[in-house]
Amino acid sequence: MNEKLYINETQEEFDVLVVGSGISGGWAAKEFTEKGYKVLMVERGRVVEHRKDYTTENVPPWEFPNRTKVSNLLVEQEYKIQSTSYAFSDMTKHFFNNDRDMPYSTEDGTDFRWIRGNQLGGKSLLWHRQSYRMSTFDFEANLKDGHGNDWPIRYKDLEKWYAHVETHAGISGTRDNLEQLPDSVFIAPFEMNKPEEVAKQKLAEKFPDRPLIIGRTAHLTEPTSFHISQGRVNCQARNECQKGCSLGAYFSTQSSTLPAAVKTGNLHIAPNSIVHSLIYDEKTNRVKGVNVIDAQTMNKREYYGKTVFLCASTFGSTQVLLNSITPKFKNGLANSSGVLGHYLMDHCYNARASGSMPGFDDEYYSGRRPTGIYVPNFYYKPEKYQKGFVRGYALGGDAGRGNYKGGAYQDGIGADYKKRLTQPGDWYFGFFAQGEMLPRFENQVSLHPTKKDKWGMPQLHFNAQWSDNEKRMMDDAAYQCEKMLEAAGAVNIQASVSYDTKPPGSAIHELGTARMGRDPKDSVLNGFNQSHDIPNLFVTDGASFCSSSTVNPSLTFMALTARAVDYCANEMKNRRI
Amino acid sequence: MNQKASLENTSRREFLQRLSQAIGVAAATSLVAGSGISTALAYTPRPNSADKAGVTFSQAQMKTLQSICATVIPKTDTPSAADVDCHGFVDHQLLQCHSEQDQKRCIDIVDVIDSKTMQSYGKSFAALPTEKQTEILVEVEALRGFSASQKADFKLLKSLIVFGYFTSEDGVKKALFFQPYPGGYKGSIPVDERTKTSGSLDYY
Repeated sequence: MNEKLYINETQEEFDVLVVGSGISGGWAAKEFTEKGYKVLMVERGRVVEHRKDYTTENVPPWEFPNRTKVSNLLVEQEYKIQSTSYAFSDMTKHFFNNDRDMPYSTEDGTDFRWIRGNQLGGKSLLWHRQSYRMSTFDFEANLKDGHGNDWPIRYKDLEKWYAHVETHAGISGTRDNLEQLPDSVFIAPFEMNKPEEVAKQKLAEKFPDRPLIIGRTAHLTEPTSFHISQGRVNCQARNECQKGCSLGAYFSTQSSTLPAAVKTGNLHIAPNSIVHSLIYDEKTNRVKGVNVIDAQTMNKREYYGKTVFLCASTFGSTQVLLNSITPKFKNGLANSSGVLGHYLMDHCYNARASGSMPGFDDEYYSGRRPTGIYVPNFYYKPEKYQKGFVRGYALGGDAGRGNYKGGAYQDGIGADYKKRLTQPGDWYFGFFAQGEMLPRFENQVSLHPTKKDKWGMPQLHFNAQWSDNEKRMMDDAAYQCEKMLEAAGAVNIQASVSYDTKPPGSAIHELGTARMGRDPKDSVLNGFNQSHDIPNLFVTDGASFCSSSTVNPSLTFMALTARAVDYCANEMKNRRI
Repeated sequence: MNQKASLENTSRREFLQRLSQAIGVAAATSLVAGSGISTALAYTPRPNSADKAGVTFSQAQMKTLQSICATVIPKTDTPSAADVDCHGFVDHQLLQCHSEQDQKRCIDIVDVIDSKTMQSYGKSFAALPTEKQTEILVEVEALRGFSASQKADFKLLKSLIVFGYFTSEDGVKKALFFQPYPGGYKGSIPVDERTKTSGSLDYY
């Protein structure tokens, strides 16, 4: 371990405390340290070092005690909630938090899935890497249809910051020139397979407003010399990303932002440091630092900084604010508006359809592509809204050939069956919906009045439900997926919805609860992710969102964070902070 | 060397070159060499699982299960499911990762198959010739003399055998196309009778 990088006790006053080390925290640390500021990154979890700590990478299935499945008992005792994530397995469980140690509660009659990765790098190690810009229409939606508050920023404000983070991170994709989905700065796209290409053409005839494109993803298909200089190489299409990738082929804190920040010599990291609350000085109206509980020893300590960036994940950041009670802020720090904890959002991934694609028996593909295809939201402005609900959804999906996993459930005994199991099976084509969830005051996270975790932190209490808007949207999505599969040439199509069984949180796109806004009376942060109430306090993760849009949010976390750092640095230079 | 193999070698070479550029030759070589090497195992296939009682099944049931494994996935130019100890695997996996109800369903169907065999042939399932064993298991799936719920129980058991086989070292490396580093994704490649699906390393 690098003794100089990791610290525990210190009285030093840093220029910036960055709380959290995931996608947002990594970017905050990189941008500040590259500008010459001394940064302490405060991380509640353990250290995970690039390459060295990817302990399951390259370990084949037969070397796992239960062939990559996790034992009943362990799931029951420690991973009951985390195990609902698609990415959870014996190969990845060490990057998920332990539910026994980190409990939360839900309001009677509601359910919520809070999937967390508390370690250095956070969920940047586990994310699905899909990377899309929000559009002009996304930033205008709240104003135009009256749900939620108006975003204080527009696409134009974020455009150059998207380009800035994309150039560093490496986003693969095609230039599609769509007003509903702005192009990124791209490296080479992943290829489509044949049925996907044919579906693209057929859909273009039948549904010209629903272009099918290759998924845009933070993988180095063709790394630039700049990416190689970060110590990263091209993606091998292993699709084992969530074990950690020693090639640095996908963007994570470890592969991309952390090396850049470490290189400056301006970064220190305090691991195993759970931020209990912020230290606030009423006289100067500034935060001065953070109160920390050591995750292992339970000892208390403090860290000091001139500025604090909360990048602790959507609910992590809100939890710290809610738990920072002062005479002036009795309902949580920076909460003069009273909206802290409200307008909680996720994405609604609760409709899907799939079918067989006949006619491609002589086609196959090589490698395990870590992305699928994508159809951007086709109800992206009020003129395009459907009857019965507002906003819309994007579609993810892919085509592929079956293998032994599906074959295991088919009839067959003996040598012919065995042979069939080893050969490419029938082609399938599937779509799933990624729906926008409306920002609603009633969907809230708060501190439980009595329950605490083992470190003495008040537990979070969730009260969030899908509204009729999301349910009607998913009903429409299931129907449209079916129609589009038909148009693409699929047969034996089956469609379904799952909003009754998959509660909010399931998409792991938690957003809102410390939203931005123009008016300090109804928002926590201004258009630069800066607290309206306390000038040297910023929140740049998903908590700051005013609406969810339909796109995967991580790329926007990156852009918002880089922009906020640029603004904050300028404010510090001019001594306004 | 056929064209496909030469392509793969080229892309592997290029890949190693790029990796070496980024992280140094020694690190790159040890990283790639590490793929697929065996280290200590928790569940280890054993040659004699059917000789004693398992953790889910009795010794007699293990014997029957072993024959079911060898019948569902027989030895061809690659090993059978019994050769790679799928019966030992299923016995272990049911206890570790499945509900008591699943365990019971699998025990029940093993017993049903054995008792039906005994009724019809006066012998245990394991003692029958291969063709007869195959015939009986085909009858389970065809619902001839077996109920729909017995078929469902058999499908559960069979899915565990198939999973066990294609996550075993031989199942992955010999029966499937073992490709720890595919070298990127190609959207279209030719396919023929001999084309195999990729070994079970992928995530989903």
